[in-house]
Amino acid sequence: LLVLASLADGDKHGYAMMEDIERFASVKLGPGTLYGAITRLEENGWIAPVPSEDRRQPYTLTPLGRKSLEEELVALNGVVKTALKRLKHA
Amino acid sequence: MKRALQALISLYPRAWRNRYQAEFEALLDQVPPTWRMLFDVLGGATKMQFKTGSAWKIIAGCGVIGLLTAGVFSATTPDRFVARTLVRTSDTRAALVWLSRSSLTQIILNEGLYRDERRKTPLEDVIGEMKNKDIGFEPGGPGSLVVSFAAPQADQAQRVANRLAASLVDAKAATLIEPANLPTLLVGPRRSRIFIMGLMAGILAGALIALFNGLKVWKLAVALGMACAALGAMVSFLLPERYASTAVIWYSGADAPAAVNRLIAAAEPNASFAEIAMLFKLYPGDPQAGDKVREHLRIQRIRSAQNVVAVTVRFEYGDRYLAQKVAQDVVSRLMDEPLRGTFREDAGMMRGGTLQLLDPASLPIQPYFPNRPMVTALGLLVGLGCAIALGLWRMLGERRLEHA
Repeated sequence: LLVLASLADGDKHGYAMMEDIERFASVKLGPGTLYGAITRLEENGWIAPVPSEDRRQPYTLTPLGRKSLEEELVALNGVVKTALKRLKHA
Repeated sequence: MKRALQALISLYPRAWRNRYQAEFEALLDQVPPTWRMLFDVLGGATKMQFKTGSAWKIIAGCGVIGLLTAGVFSATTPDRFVARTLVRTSDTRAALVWLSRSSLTQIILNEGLYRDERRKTPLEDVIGEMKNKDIGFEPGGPGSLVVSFAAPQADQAQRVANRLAASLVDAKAATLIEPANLPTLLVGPRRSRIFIMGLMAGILAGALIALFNGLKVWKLAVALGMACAALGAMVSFLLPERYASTAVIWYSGADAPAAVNRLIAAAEPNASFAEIAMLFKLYPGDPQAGDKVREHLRIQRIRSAQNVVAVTVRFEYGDRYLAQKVAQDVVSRLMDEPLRGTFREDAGMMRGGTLQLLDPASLPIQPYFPNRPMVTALGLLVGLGCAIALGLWRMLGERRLEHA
């Protein structure tokens, strides 16, 4: 989810994703963990490599990945709204 | 660190490296190397191997990990030398009883044994460990016994083995045939056995991982194992504790076995069990309290060569202080019996004999039941076993569906 969310505003290579995720989620991903996620997401067809001249490989969110991210975020949003509502009434 | 990281990349599967190595190296070049990163990359490589590797590769990898673990264990386990001494005694099965706590305490203090253990655990427990782990008794031929002691240094093993034999001789439980020589051969740890066990455990773990690779069974196994271990620990705390207090009496004199039998028979008439139960308020509200005392009181006779008999008195009860008090009371009844006159007049067997208290009734520190670590470990194993069985069942079910 973090990698998909990071790619939602544009293509990024591994290091840029790590920095972005740390900034918006305060989660410091290690290179092994990040590339484990990239491998899995690419296999699922949710992200795809973008042609690049650089050694660093940028990735982009595929339409399938965007749909998946939206579904996940909607479900998550429902949980957050319910929890906040319950907290207010408690 | 950079070189180590580069080397770790080679642990990833070849197919993965063909696709991702260049960009992964580029990322590693940008990130400042840390120990956390090293473990992260190692973890990533392991996960990827499990995900994409063949069953044989996983089994071989786990076998290597098992071997490495065995190597570390073997290297950190201290050497052990065993010194042996030969003594003559008639009861080779129960020689351990003759080593009193006071004589073992003296040996431990004089030789400076178990310094670290003594700092952490009570001396009573250290003596128990010494008896269980390091002191050995084995038959050395008809009427003789080999007394051995295992220690990290050869000269220490020799000295302690000789002192143990001397304690048996002092207690008139044995006569010395042959003192201990300086051991020259290292007997432990059995490194080849450790390596074989490590390899086998690794291969077994690898086979299980390969079998359930990709299934959620591992998460289930960990969760179910932990849950069962917690349940086991809780159950073990709900079970009533039982403590055992033990004392040893020593009788030396003419026709010792008959004299001791007579002594015990005179000291334990049926009525005295009910009397003990009433005196110490044991098993409150239970009309069969006397029978229960009889059930949990064990008086055992152990004979040696020189007309010497040891009597061990052991009482088990839920309260450790009461367990000790009852054992003390039974011991004092046995010790006082010759003074009461009836026994002496009736049997006339204690003349010239000596009755001594070798070990007073101990105050038990740990309950002998339930064995909490054992119950918890058993719970963990049952949980893991159930999860693996469940995984197998699910896998077979899925296969059946595929064939249908």
